Amino acid sequence: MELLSSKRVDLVHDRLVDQGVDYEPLRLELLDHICCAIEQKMDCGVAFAEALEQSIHGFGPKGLERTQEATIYLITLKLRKMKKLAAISGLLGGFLTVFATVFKLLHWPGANIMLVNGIALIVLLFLPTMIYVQFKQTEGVWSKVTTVVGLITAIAMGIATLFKVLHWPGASVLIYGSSILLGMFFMPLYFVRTYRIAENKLFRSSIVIVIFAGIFLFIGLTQLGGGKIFSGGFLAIMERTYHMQETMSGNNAQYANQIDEKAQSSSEKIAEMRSKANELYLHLDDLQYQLIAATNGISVEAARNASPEKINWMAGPKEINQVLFAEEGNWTVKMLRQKMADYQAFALTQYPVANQELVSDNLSFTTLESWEAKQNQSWEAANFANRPLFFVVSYLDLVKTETRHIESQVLMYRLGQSTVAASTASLNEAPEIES
Amino acid sequence: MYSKELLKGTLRTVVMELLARNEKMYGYEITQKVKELTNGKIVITEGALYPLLHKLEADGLVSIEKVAIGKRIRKYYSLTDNGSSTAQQLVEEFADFVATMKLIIDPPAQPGYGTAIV
Repeated sequence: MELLSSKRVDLVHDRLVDQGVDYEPLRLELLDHICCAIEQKMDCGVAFAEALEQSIHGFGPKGLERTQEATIYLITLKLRKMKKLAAISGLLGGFLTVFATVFKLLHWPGANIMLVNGIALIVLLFLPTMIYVQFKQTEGVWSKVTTVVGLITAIAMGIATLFKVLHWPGASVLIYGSSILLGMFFMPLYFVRTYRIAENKLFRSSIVIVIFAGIFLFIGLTQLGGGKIFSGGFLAIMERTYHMQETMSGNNAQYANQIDEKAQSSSEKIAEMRSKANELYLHLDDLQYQLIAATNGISVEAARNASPEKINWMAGPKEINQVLFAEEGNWTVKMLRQKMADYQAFALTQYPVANQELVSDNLSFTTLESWEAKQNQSWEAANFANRPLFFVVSYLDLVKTETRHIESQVLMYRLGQSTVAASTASLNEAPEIES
Repeated sequence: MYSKELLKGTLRTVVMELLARNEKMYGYEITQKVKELTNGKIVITEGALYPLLHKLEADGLVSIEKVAIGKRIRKYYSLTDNGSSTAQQLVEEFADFVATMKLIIDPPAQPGYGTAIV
């Protein structure tokens, strides 16, 4: 059998193009097929032109086109089925998730079960089928990689959201993991691809960046990332404040000892000052635990023993208002103000009357009258009304620190007085001065 | 020539069985082989063969090898491991089908019916 010349092969090829066979893998295969058929016919003595017509007619009217249609139909059958599955699961999962979110915001029952089903549909059915569909449909290696990485990121985020909503352990790890996927892999890939393809590069790039910024802001604000950083920072500053108060208390004890050594006569007054300070300090401490207990729905005893990480510091302000603004009781803000004012007044009596006006500013809680004079709001309303737990507890810490500060002021003054007295006494006892 | 309906259901079996018996074949070769084996009683149309071959390729049942013949490119098909087991299943199923059909067309003689009373 003689092979067709390349010129004749070209003729057959042109004929196939004319007939509308534009799917290349099929066209090349049909070219070989028809050439084989022509060669066989020519072997039997048929002329080339006649053999070509016969072979083409062998396919029947529009047969070549139909063959192509049938081929494409069969090889895309799976893809179309997957697309249908993706569309149905996406619609259902999407609607369920949206409805569940609305239900959750309105505190209606059934939100969680809807959310779980919605996210499960999206994560387990929609996204995996989309990976298949997109992988088949996108062209170019990098576009395929970008699409697949993006969908895997979406699956990870979906699973993380599910864990978070259901309070399952490991949610934070999943959120961090998917954020890393998003930020370090998908974002750069997607950005580069967009930049390459887009006509108005700057415009398209800015849109992509803004969208990603939005996603990150969302993760940062709503997920525990932000909350954890916040509560971690809050607990750390509480710890440092406590450390400062302890140091001040230790210093004050030392001052008191020194005064005792120098002047026995004033030790009774010193002891009274210290006990007044401790009394107010303990009241503030008790008040803090009362508020933690009330807002977290636990006993005061449990509040004292609970680890700070377990306490919901964002709780309140309803329960706080109930405790602090009650008609009467030991834990009202009215009682607190009374105790603070008493303490301040007592501290002032430790100075000679002539000096009292001079030191009164330094001896007062910066947050009482002097504060009110500057603001147009009462001290109680500004610092205790409608405030969350972490604010009120931190504020009471501030008052604790000031309590120690006032104590310290008085003791320093006393120490100065007794030092002067002691040195005068020793001068009288020892008239001889070394040269 | 057999009716179209009859052939339609068996095309896949025919093609895969041929590929199982021969190491590798190209499209035109398959059509000629079938014609030859059946003395021209079964003719596979190109319009049915090529869509099927592409589908088998997409499903991973056959692997392909391209060989340049002058200006043309010839595409050889051979069964993958997966394809071989599928081919075997199809042939077994078809053989069983033929045996079953025979029961209908040519029922075995049953006692009590059609026995002549002497």
